[in-house]
Amino acid sequence: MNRETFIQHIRQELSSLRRFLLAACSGNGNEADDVAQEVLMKAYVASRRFEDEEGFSAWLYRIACNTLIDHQRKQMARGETIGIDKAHDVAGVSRSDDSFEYQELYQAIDGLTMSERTAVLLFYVEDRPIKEIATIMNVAEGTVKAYLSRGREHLRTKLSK
Amino acid sequence: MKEKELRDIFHAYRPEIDDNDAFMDRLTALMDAEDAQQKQVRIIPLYRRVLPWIAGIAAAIVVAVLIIKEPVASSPATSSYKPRQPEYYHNAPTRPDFASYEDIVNEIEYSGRQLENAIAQL
Repeated sequence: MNRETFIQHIRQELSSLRRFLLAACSGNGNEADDVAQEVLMKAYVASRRFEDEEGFSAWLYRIACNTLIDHQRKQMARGETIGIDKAHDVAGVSRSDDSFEYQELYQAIDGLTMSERTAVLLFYVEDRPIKEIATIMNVAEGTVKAYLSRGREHLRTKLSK
Repeated sequence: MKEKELRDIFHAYRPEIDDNDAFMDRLTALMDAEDAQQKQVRIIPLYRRVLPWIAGIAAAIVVAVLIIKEPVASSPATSSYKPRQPEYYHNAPTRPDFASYEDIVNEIEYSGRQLENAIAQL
């Protein structure tokens, strides 16, 4: 895939990807944009050998999921995990209102593991089928269902309060 | 909470993502830097791949020049040089002048001895 085609695909996916990463990072806009930049640069380097244009979106989200997991591991290793309360302080100015608007949702998401969070967001925010989520996360469909089940349970408890 | 309610909450999640152009500008700059780095990385391995070939060809030329300049030792079967003649050959009378039968016998005996010596030398 050449550079022009890559940019064209990215423009179509950018808002959706950044929204997904913003939720995955519990509303921390700066962190989400850092991860988005890392994801897109990894995708750009790999895109020279990638030809399946129809599968671009799933491929991009797969890179995003792997990068999120790496990012979380690095943060945990450095003891830098940012809680939801601190996330609002470092969120971008333009999104501060959004952060408060979705505070309850971000708090609920924050209690999920990264795998549960990814599965829930891909299923509920991106409306992707379980089969595709399994491909993106590189796990079995049953595992995705388990992540969703645990995630739902946690969200119901948190959001019903 | 029902499944539909949960789904509705997530469907209502639409945070404002309004700085996509600025984000794309930053990304394009990073892509330019990556392209420049890749170009450099491609040139260096090419140089490294060609270098052994250049060294090999240069060495082959040097060896070929040395071989051409070095005099080749001649073998008996292929030599165009005349072999060293035995001593008796040079001392042999070119135009023998025999005065008598005895001279002829002496000459034959002398030649025979020289031949024996030559064989002994071999």
